[in-house]
Amino acid sequence: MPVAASAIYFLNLRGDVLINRLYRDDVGGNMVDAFRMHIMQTKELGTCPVRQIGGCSFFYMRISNVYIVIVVSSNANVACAFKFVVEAVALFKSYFGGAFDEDAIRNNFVLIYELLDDKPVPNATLQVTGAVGWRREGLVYKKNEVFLDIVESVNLLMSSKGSVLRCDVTGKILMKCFLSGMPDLKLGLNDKIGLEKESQLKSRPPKSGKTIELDDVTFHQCVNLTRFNSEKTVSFVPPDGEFELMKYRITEGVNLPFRVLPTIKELGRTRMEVNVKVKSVFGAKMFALGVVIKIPVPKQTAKTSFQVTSGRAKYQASIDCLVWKIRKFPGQTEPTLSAEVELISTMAEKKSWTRPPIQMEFQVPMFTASGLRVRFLKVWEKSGYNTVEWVRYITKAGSYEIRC
Amino acid sequence: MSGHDSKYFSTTKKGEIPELKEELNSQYKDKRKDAVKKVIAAMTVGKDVSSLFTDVVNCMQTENLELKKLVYLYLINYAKSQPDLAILAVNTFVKDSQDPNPLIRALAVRTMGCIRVDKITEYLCDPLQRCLKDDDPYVRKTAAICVAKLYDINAELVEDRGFLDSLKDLISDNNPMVVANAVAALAEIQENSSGPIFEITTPTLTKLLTALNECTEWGQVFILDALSRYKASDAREAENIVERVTPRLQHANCAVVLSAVKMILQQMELITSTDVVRNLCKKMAPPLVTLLSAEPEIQYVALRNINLIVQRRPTILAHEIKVFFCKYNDPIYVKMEKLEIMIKLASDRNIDQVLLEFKEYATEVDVDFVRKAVRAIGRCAIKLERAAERCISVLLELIKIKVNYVVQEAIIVIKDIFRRYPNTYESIIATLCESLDTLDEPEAKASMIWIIGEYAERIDNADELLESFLESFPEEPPQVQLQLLTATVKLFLKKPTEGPQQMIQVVLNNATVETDNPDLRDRAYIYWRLLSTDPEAAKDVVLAEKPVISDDSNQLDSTLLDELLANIATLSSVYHKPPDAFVTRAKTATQKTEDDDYPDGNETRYSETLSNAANGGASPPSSSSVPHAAARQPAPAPAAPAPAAVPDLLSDLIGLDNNQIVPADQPATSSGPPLPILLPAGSGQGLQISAQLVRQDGQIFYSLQFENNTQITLDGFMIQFNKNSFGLAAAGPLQVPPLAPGASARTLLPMVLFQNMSTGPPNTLLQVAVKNSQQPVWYFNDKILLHVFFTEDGRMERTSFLETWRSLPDSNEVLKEFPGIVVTSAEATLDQLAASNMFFIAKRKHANQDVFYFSAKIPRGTPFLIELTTIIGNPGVKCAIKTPNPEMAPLFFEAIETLLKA
Repeated sequence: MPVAASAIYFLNLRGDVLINRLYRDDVGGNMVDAFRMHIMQTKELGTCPVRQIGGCSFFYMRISNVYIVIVVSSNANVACAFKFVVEAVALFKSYFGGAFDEDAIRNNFVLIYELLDDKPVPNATLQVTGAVGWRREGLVYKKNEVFLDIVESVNLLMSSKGSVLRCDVTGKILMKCFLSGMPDLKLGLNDKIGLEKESQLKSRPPKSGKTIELDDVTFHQCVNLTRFNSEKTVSFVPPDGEFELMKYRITEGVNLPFRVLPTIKELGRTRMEVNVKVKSVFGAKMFALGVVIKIPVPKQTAKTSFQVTSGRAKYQASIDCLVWKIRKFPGQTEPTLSAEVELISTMAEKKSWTRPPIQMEFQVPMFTASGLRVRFLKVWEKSGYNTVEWVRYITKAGSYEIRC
Repeated sequence: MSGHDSKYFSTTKKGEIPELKEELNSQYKDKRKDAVKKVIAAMTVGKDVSSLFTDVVNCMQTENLELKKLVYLYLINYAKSQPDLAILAVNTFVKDSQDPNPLIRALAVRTMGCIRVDKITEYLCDPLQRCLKDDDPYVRKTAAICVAKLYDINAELVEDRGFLDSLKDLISDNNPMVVANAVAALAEIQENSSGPIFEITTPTLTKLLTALNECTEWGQVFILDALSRYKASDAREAENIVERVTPRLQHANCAVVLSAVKMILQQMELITSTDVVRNLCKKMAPPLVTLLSAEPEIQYVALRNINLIVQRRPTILAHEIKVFFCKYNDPIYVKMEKLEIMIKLASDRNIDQVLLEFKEYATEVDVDFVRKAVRAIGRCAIKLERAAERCISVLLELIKIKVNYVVQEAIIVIKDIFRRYPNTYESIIATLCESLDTLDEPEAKASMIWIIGEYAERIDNADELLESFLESFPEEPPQVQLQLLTATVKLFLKKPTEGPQQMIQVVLNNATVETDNPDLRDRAYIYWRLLSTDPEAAKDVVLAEKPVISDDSNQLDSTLLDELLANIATLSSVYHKPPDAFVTRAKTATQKTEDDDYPDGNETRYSETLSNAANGGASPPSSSSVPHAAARQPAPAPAAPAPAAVPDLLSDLIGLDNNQIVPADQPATSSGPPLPILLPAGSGQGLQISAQLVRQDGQIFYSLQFENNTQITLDGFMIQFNKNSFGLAAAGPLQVPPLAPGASARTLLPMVLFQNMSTGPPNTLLQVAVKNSQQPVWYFNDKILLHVFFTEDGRMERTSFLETWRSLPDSNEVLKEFPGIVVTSAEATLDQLAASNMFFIAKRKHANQDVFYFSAKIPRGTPFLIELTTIIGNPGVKCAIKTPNPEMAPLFFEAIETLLKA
């Protein structure tokens, strides 16, 4: 536990204790009751994740149907505490096989207690004694393979007039390493700084092709940051297995995969006309998967009728949205939805309907909104084996919102 | 990989504990392991499995690491309640700390550090010393953290055994993880200590900066946090440090990034070169922005910190305002913080965009957020003069939507805009007046009235508008009343015509005669006198030019800001309060209570209590109970020195309320056990009075006995009680027959509670006055014994007892020992207590001691949960109680003492 925490609790939504681990006894055993009384049972829940009750402070996070609560009585590092929880949950998920919920916790409570004892690094107990904290020595693989996954999420906020208010891409490079020995890896991307540096070193003009500018990059702890700062190269000794090598953010020159053109007309008090055109602007040979467009309608919607040129649409009353799903969405096409919405007329509703934004979900394989490409991945190991590298790209929707 | 541990939570039909006991002692390893898992599962859900202590500890000697860990977990939880048994585990601990497996060595030391039992601490020292010099870095690392824990338990011991020096040696360890943990331990010790323990010198700095590159992410956080307290000697050193730290900004762990930012900001204060500073600002911006793509909780922490950072260095994020635009699905706490930062970053360059955003937010669903958005527009108007007009036009657009709370919020901010830019935007007043009827919130109303009063000369029907408010003047909240008063005076001064003159009379009358609000009354009187003596002076005062306001809301004072910036990433930076404002941890706070050996001072304290009690209980109860409470709880209740009621009151009381004194002319019974003499014949000119509070058939009586040792017949007895903590008073007349010389009479006076309550902390003092037709009034003091109030319905179910016990905070637990009392027979004591409505709940054995649990209740629903610990037949009873009303504790202890002694 990297925080001077007094206790950590896992609670279910009713406030029953699933896991409790006391680190110091300067807080009473009734902290759960305090949390239940003063946070869970009040409207305060969800208004602020850091609260003070009496002499203690509570940091809490909800993950699926579980609250993780950290209690401290000192001026603890909050960022560290939350990050610890996030990492711990990720670790638990990898151990439990995906799910992190009440049942998974009950089923694995012994393991959780064990992991809470130590810092949350997979197989920590095996690795801590080595010189490279995150890699065990003497690994042997018959076939040396590296898998790289470049996963990007596009965040977009577009005004109703079609101008981009905010747009950025947050990407991460996930790596799966099955390599023998203590390999030294070096990754090359088509980003501007890296390429410039290279061309300086080799004193020749950069190769043609698109270069991109990364706003910010953060790296896994295995990456030598000092070297990145001075030489602009991403070099590292990777942990064994799966890990997140780096994260990056880009705001300039983002290729938006979709354009959404909505027209929503309110015809009198009881009728609305909704027309939405979605245009895919990536290459015609590619296609998007799992496209969902959620078009909000007023609460008092009574009846809807649709016409779509592709996919299926229905009205989902629980979220007050028209949900339009297109399973496979080829590039360079523009399907449309036109719907008529009938509303129950209410006299009391003086306030006009505040239109929430249209939201969109999608995945586009082999497409990067940032234009990022992996140029090379070099592996050196003293035994000099050959490595097979696999690279995949995918772009997903982050918060993709279009005001209407 | 997925487990199936949930089966351990399922209980068997009956006798779970004996069944577990059996399984724990099974000869099969697997069965034992399963049983320990069941025990841990039970412990987790809050069942008391402490009775299995010995059986679980027996499983400790195992080669199986998983099982060992579970047993250790159990030990940590229950060692405190079973300190004597915990000693049994010490041998295994010591042995494990020499195990060939480094993981077991580390585990043993870590567990021992978590057990706060003094006796174990003694045994911990040697293994700890060894482990601090262990060959394996993992063991050294664990031992380092353990030192910090030990310091918390026993600082002296740590210093005596030289552990601090060993820790300092570990800073030069060749393993970076050990270095990081040693630093963390030292920093924690420093936090809990007043003396200088860990000072970072230049060589230490160099070592730590080197270790920074090599250790894990959490280790980096420890080191950066510790280093941020280092004061560089000059700009050059600061620049060097910063250069070593900046690469950390690229770390994937947000905690590392924030701690690096903290460190850089600290050193930047020293750096003089503007180029370097500008460059650093440029470098810090992207990582700070990246924090906003983390989980919402982390975003919240980041935003609270960014709020501080932009106050000190606004340039860092001056061009990044877009990233603070709210997403529709952001949690409300993130949205609120983003708004605050948007206001701070708003400038002439970006205000158009920002206003569009604010306008969008003002139409969202969450009322608090909408209000804050509207207010944000106003604050931008006040901050940016050139944008004020645009801000106002947005506000007017919002008013046109006619959503009630938007309108009210807009009016509040427009009032501020008028103050900031006088004589500029008054043309919009007409629009504002249209929404007059919809205002129902005090602040909005007050703002509107202020506007009317301030601009009375420009509003044609100002008098009519104000008059409409005046009708409800008496019902308005003070804020609105004050504003109405001032606005009417302004109106009168500006338009001294008949209408306003009448209005002002109504208002002044209302505000002076018909109110009990001193602020309002005083202000009204001042206006009144001003107006009646010198109307010109009144004009100068009331219509004086007002100073221009600026938007300083949420701007922190510079020294506070410095302190908060030094605490980036910590709680302090989230609360925006300095650490000592919320950390109440006192070092010696919690220990000792569970241990049997009390400091010697305890005895004397106890006898003091006794003597206090003997003095008639007139001293405030806090004198005896507070040292106890303070020794146990980090946040002691303020030691209230509230004076007890002064006896002088009595004479007043008798003098004034003579008619209330009840005649005593009816015969009374005279039987029962002897009562304590409260007024000896010597002081009562021959009249002796004995009395005691008793409980009979669920009712409280004052049992009195009068003995006439005078030469004359006494009659016309009356009785009166002074105010007391329980409001005890006579429920009927005192019925005592005329007493012939030498005769005595006994009576039962029914009593009621909550009649004439005294204020201040509860005490046991009952002051009584008795008079008769022949003698002067006699005053005497009696002591209220709490147990007479214990009601018949005080019995609690076991479960509700446990629940109540748990739901009450530890600060409500008070403990006291009665070294002189012997319980010879449990049954007899239980019967006796039950007769006083103290109900037996449960009993358990703890070592050689018996622990009994009782419940009791006094009227108005105050329950007492009682734990009595004693060894039958031996002197010494320990009594711990928990109650929602711990002020009652001393009273309770007096009562229980009486009961047990009886």
